[in-house]
This record gives sequence, C-alpha cells and structure tokens, in this order.
Amino acid sequence: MIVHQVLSGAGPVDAVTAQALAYRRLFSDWGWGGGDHAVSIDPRLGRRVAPLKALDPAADDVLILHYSAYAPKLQAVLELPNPKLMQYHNVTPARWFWDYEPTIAVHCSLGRRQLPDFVAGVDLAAAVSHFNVAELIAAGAERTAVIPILFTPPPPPPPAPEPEPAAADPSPPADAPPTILFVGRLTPHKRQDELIGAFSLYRRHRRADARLVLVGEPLDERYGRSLAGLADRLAPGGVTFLRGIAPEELWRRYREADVFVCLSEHEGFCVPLLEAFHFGVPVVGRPSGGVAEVAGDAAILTDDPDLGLIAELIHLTVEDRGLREELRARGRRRLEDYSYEATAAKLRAAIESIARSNG
Amino acid sequence: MRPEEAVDHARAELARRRAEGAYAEDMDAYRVVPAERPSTELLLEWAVIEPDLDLVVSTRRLGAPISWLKRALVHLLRQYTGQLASQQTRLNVHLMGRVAELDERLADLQHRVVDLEDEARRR
Repeated sequence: MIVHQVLSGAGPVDAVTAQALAYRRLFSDWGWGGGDHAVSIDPRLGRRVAPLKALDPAADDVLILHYSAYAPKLQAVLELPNPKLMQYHNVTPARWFWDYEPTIAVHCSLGRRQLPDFVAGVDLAAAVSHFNVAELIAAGAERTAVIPILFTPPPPPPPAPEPEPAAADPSPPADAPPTILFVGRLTPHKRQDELIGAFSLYRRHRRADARLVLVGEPLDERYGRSLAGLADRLAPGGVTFLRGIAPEELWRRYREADVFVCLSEHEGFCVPLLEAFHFGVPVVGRPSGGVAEVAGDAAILTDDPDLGLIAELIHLTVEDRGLREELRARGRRRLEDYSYEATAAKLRAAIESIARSNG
Repeated sequence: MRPEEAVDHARAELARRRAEGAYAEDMDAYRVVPAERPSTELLLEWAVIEPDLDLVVSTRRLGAPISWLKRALVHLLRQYTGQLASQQTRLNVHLMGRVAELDERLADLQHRVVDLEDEARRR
C-alpha cells in the first residue's frame, strides 16, 4: 500500500505535523510506502516533508489530508482521482480571536467555511474525536470515522537512586507547595486568564505558597504579555510561563504537578489530558468540546463559570488523598481506550476500507 | 471522596466560606481585557490607501541619492502600485460601507427594543 499525506503547513513544533510524522512511522512499520507533502514547510524539518507540488501519486495510492486550517491550495488535491481520507483536527471558531488577532480570526473563519468542500471531496471524513465528527456531519459528511490522536506514552523517568517503599502516591509531601499545571498554547479560547484568576483565589484563600506552571507558546507577544501582566497583578511571583521546552523538561513538569487544570472553552481533543493521566496527575477542568469525551469519568469537570468553585476544586484535589488515588486509577483505565495499538488499528482499518472501496 | 461528589462538595464549601466573608473578590478583574477595538470612523479613515511618497526615504548616512532612486522606482512602478492600492481600497471601502450600515441597523434595532420595553412596562 502507498499512502501519501498532505498538510497545509508543516513545522517542527506543530501538533498536526507531529501526528503526520507519527503516522508515517506507523506506515513504515507496516511496510507501506508514500511521502508527506505540505504547502509551506519550515526548513527545520529538512527533507522529512516535501513540497506539495512534488506530489505525484499513482492512481490507486491513498491520500490522507490533514485538515486544521484554511488551506486554499489543498483544494487542488481534492480534484485528484485517488481514494482520499480527511483527518480533521478541528479549526477553532473565529470568535475567540477577533479582539486579539483579527488575521487569525479571518483564517479560522475561512477554514470552517471551506470545510464542506473538503468533506464533499473525500471518501471518508475522519476526526480525532466524536466532537469533531459532529462538526464534519454538520458540514455534510455522510461517511465518517473517529480516529483519535495516535498517543505515544512518554518514556518512564530515569530510576530514582533510592526509591521509597511507600511511594504509591507520587505527589510531593503534604507540606510542599502545591503545583498546578496546564499545557497548551496561550490563546484566548484556552482561558489561561481564568486559570490565573482561579489560581490566585486558591492562593489567597487556601494555599499562599501554591505555584502555577503554564507551558505553551503565546498566540502572539502582546497576548503573552497580557497574561504575564495579569499573573503579576493577581498572583505575583506565583506563575511560571514556559515555552519551547524540551520533552524531558515537559515530562518533569508533569511529574512535579499536583493537579492539571484545563479551563479551555474549545478543544478538539486535548492531548495534555492523556499526558496528565499517563503521569498520574489528577485533572480538573471544563467539559468543553473534546475534553469531556477524552477525560470520560477520569477528571472532575464542571461548566460552572465561578472561579471560586475552581479554586475549591483545586484545593479538594490537592488535599484529598482518596480522591487523587481514584482519579489516578481512572486515568490509567482511560489511557487504555487511547492506546497506541488501538488507535493504530482504527487508522489502518479506515485506510484499508477506502482503498478497498476504490479498488 | 468519589470524583462524582467533588463538585457538589466544593460548591457547598465555597458557599460556606462565602457566608463567612471569603471569596468576595470582583471576578471581572480576573480576566484579560482585550485591547480596545479601533472605532468605525478610524477604520473608515484607514480604508482608503494613500501612501505618502515623502516617507520613501533612505535612513543611511549620505542616503539622499538612494532616496532619489527609491522615489524614481516608485514613480516608474506607479501604474502597478496604483492598481494594487485601488483594488485594495475598493474592497476596504465596500466592506466598511457594509459595517457602517450594519452598525446603524443594529443601533436602530437596539433603540426599538428599548422603546418596546418601555411601552410594555407602561401597559
């Protein structure tokens, strides 16, 4: 089998590119050939991704279109006679960006408007979650599939020099300052501003020594400065912003965290939830978009906008050992649903089904 | 405690603590406020593209000949750049016309809602 992948843009820290490259490793393991192509390519990727104009598939080669943004130049691919699978990674609705980055808002708006053309032009419209599939159906898709993110569990930490025998709970000692973590781009819809607010309430009313770690690239420098200003005003010295960190550093941050808090108002999937489950970090969040679906019963979710409630939930999750243990156990079970093998099987079945129906 | 009980428990605890005077902060201060949007009048002003030839200069020391060359190039290409500016201006002006029209219609509707609410209250 020959499978080519097509992306609008490819970059070294882009989640969609990472997913396409993970697919390629899988295809190689299965003995499948093909190449990966993009309209715009970050030079740091080297030759791993080729320009779109170099795409020259044979008639029965399968094409996978990764759709995550407005991509007018990808429309030419829809005209090709090959069997085509679209993997929809979600396009954030424009409403969150008009006040901050109107250009991004325009791209998001166009990206969602263009979706029906792509849905109509492919044999199978797949998405990483049921939430995203619902958007595909609304855009006119008839044949759909859910193919979650191909989640590769981070490697285990290096062995500790002297492991403590009673270390069932990997949390720091009760008197250590609690650490709250969120991982995700600093953007208006991920609501890091509300997380900083909830965290400051938690500090003011529960634990003055608590720390918040926000990992992610800002939407732009101005938005990053706005969040840093809010943090300085509400929780001076308590919030750490990290960007461009190495995977090992990110995994260390998960290991040090007491609670992972996600107040995002829109998520197509939310990979950091799976990472939190992997590291045994209890999750508190909002049941928005794909979050409720991915988290299942393994997180404490509320859509109550009261930040005081979030602060109290953080406190409860930090302090209640039984609750933490139960959330950890559920998180581990949740990971089984998103195992690498299970997702790889779904991907393979989807590709083989469109290859068969066109063959 | 089971995770299913956590929200109710936290809500009850929050209510208890609020009754004692805690968590009384103004929550509006806990959000990032977007930068002020440019007014419709300012956008209308920006819609018509009129580049200033005086701003085409060289900032290098002894840059006068380079400034002259740059202006000569702009002059030679004025047919092309003029087309670009007029096409973009046409789009901008039409879009701003629609925005201004929608603004007016929205204001009219808001006034009408206020009038209808007043009328309903009087009855």
